Formats: sequence, C-alpha cells, structure tokens
Amino acid sequence: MPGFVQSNGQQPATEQDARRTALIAATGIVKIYPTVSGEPVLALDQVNLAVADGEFVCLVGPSGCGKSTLLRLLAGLDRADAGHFSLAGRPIDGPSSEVGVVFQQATLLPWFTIWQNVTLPVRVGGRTLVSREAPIRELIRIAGLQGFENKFPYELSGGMQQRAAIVRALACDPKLLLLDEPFGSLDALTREKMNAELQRIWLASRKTVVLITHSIDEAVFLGDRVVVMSPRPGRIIRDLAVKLPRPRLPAETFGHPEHIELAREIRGLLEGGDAP
Amino acid sequence: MTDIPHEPTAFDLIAASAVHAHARRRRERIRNIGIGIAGLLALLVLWKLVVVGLEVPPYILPAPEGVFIALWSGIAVAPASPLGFYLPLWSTLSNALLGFLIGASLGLFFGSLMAEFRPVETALMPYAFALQSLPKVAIAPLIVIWCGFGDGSKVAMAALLAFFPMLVNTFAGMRATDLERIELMQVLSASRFETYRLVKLPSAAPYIFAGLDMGIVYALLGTIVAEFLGAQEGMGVVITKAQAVTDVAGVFAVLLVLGLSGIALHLIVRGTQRSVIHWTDRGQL
Repeated sequence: MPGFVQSNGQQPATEQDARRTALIAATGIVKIYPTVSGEPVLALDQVNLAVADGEFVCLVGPSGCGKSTLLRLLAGLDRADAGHFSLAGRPIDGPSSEVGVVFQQATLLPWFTIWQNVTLPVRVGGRTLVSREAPIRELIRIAGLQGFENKFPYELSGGMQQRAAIVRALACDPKLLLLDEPFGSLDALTREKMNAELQRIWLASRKTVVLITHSIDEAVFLGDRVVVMSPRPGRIIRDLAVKLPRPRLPAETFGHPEHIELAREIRGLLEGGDAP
Repeated sequence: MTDIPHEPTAFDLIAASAVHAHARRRRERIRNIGIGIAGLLALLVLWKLVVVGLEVPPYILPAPEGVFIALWSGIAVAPASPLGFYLPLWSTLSNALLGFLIGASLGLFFGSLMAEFRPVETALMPYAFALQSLPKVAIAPLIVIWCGFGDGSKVAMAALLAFFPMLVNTFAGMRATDLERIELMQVLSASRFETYRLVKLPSAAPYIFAGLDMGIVYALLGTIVAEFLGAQEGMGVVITKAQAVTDVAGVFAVLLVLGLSGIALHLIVRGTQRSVIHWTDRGQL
C-alpha cells in the first residue's frame, strides 16, 4: 500500500541480520517524580532500550512499574531526569510528527466526526491535509471504518473508537507508533479481536511499534519482542524474542507451545518480581 | 411461505415497543400540559377568591381580570402606539440584547485569557471575586452618572450583569478540560491557539452555554434597573409610571410581559445549545 509503508528502498542487504539500525535508542534513562509528601519517587532506574526499525515491541510489567512513564518520555510529553533518548539518531526533546500515540482511552473529540478526528493530526501544527488525504482513506479502509467517516464518536462501539484512534495516530505517517494499554478498557473478546486487527494494520503499514500492556497473552501474541519490567523502581529485567510466525491467528497462537512457554516464563518473572 | 402465520419476530417486537414508547411519551406530554393548565386555573381562582373574600382593594392587589384588561390594553393597539407595550418592550429588549452581546463577549474573552495564562488569572482573580461578591445593581447609579439617561446606561448595565456569569463559566469550563485531550494536542504539536480553538473551547461549551443562559436573564434585569433610575423609554419606565398612579394592575401586566420575554430568551439560548452541543446528552462531556 503506497503512501504509508515505510520506505525501505535504500536499506542495505545486511539489514536482514541482527545488526539492524535502531530506530529508538534509550540509554541510562532515569525518571524521578516529586510527590505531595515530599519524598520523591524513582519511577525509572537506568533503563536501556533499543528498538529496531519496523519492530513490534511489547512492554509488560505490573502496575506502577513505570512503563507508562517510559512511553510518555518516548512521546516527548515528559523529560527524563538522566539518560539519553534518540529517535532515528536525533534526540527526543518534545512531541514530534514522527511519533503517533494511542492512549488508553480513544480520546476522540466528541464534537468532531470520525473523519475530522482522524485527520486532526494533519490539520494542526501548520500541516495541510491535501497530500495525506488518500493514505488516510486507505487507513480507514484497513481499519474497517469505511462508511463511518461522517459519524460522531458516540455513535461507534468502543472497539471502533479505539481503531479510529489508531488511524489518527498513523495519519501523519509517523516512524514510531506508541500504544499505552490501548485495549485496556475493552472486554476480553473485543480485545482479542482488536489484537488481531492491530496486527493486520501493523502488517500493512510496518511501523515500529511500542505497545504497553499488562496482558501477558496480548504481549506475546503481538510482539516481536516482549520486554519485561520490574515493579518500582522500573527496570528492564528480561528481553524475550517471540519467534511465532506471522500473521498470527488467535486460535492457533494461544495454543502454540512457544506461546504457552513464553507466557509461563513472563508470568514467573512478574510474580517473582512481587517478592522482595 | 407467506401463508404460514408466524409468531412475532424480535424485529416486530422492537418496532411495536418503539411505537408504544412514542405513544407513551405523547400521552405524558399531553398530561403534563393538562396539569399545567389546571394549576394555572386553580391559581387564578384562588387569587380571585382572596381578592373578593378578603376585600383586598385594587391598589394593593387587583383581581385577575383587572390584570388581563391592563395587559390587553397594552397589546391590542397599533405597534407604534405610545400607549402600547411594543415600543417600550422593543427598547428594553434591544438594549438588553446589545448589552448581553457586549458583556458575554467580554466575559468569554477575559475568561479565556484567565484560564489560558496564569499571570492573567493571578492579576484579575481578586477583582473578579470582589466584583462578583458586590451586588452589581448597586453600581447602577454610577453607571447612570457616567453613561447618562439614554440607551448607553441601559446597555452598560446589561453588559455588566451578563459579563460575570460568562467570565466565571468560561474560566471554569476551560480549566475542566480533560487532560488527555490536551495531551493529545501536545502529541500532535498543535499550537496553543489550536488547542484553545479545537479542544478547550468546545470542552467548555456546556459551561459557556450555562453562562449565556444566566447572562441573558441578568442582562434583562440590568436594563430594567437602569430604566428605573431614569430613562425616557422602556418597560422599566412603564412600571414607574404605573406605580406613580398606583395602577397595580398595570404593573402586573408589565411583569407578565417581562416574565414571558425572559422565558422566551432562555428558550432561545437552550435551543441554540441543543443544536450546537449535540454530544453532551450522549453521556460524553
């Protein structure tokens, strides 16, 4: 699908091996939050993370492990207290159109139609819609939202709203897509369906994705890699590669020995992390 | 196949229940109107009984038909007649509306500035509080001194009274904007004005309309008060003239007209709100 597929034309053949260029390189990230009581909280402690171009990385960890903090830093919504972030070789010093973000809630603006919502990123910040109109129509088709362009968000189901939010995040053709527990508020069945949908959208667009979740199954189902974080202070305790073939189908993948084995390992890590 | 008699399907039942719901709402509406009319009639009868039974003199409380006659003599005349309600009502309403537009716009402007810029809030909030606590009609004599006995003082009073609900509501509404929506705009590198125009202002719309609703009624109040203090025309003048000759029925008639005007203005604001803010009654703010 032309228009929003990342151009990979001039990449060297060695791209196939492990020495893929890192799109995100985070080194020694420290984030401290001040609290009302005055005792500062160490949210992230010496976090190192590298994500290759086109890779789908899932971050799992218990509540309060700082995974959302890490995502906010990547989105440029917050500044790290120490360490260095770079996106495609350039330091991250604020929000950029190279990064698309999907929040836990769809956060569609109820006074705009679906079309107005998904085109919002290309209508603000001095950008113009013209060159992006066709690719966004294509994204709407991929996300199964055709015919709903002129509906208002409250006329759509929760799952459709979240798909619209994903289309919006991709509207600017970002290099990186960040998702913060995007399906956390959906019921289990819809969630499973949305996971398959997200994989489909991702396979069609081949963005680099960082997804935060506390669902182990979701992480293993979607990720090329699953990065496991410890409770506060957040540290990366394991980085697991998922070798399951794509496209993954829920019915096959959830029963696959590798899926079961990985899920068991991650569960062990998360439960072990609870004990001091 | 069409011959087979069939049990009603779910679709039939849904359609039937929709028809039922519609008919029930209709019946309820007719019943409510009936209750309203019955209540009004009961009030008029009670009023008449009190006036007759207690022998209340008409310069204290006129009988209902006296008020009706006064009302009729103000309505059943040529629009340009100096005896009718039309000229003074036009004067009062046009001054109130002009004042409302000025006051509400200024309220929206300064409320937005205060919500958007902390230093402006810090600088203006004490005065806003002080003036808000002050009974603003007490400023009317000063306004009349500054703006004279003409339309100026009426417009100014209306603007003054419409200003504060708009200021406070715009400020509160913008500050209540969902943080996630603001962060969304940050992620999109939207400018401050884009965030204001596309997110904060629509978020504050329900508050702003509540401010408009209050403001329009206050503007009418302000105009009447200014007219009491000195004016050549307007419903306030009609009231003072009637009061001078203890024509209490005449005062009642003017109050009735003003009350109905207030209700009409309120309904106009509510109607506009319904057509502008289509999303709030769907469980989303």
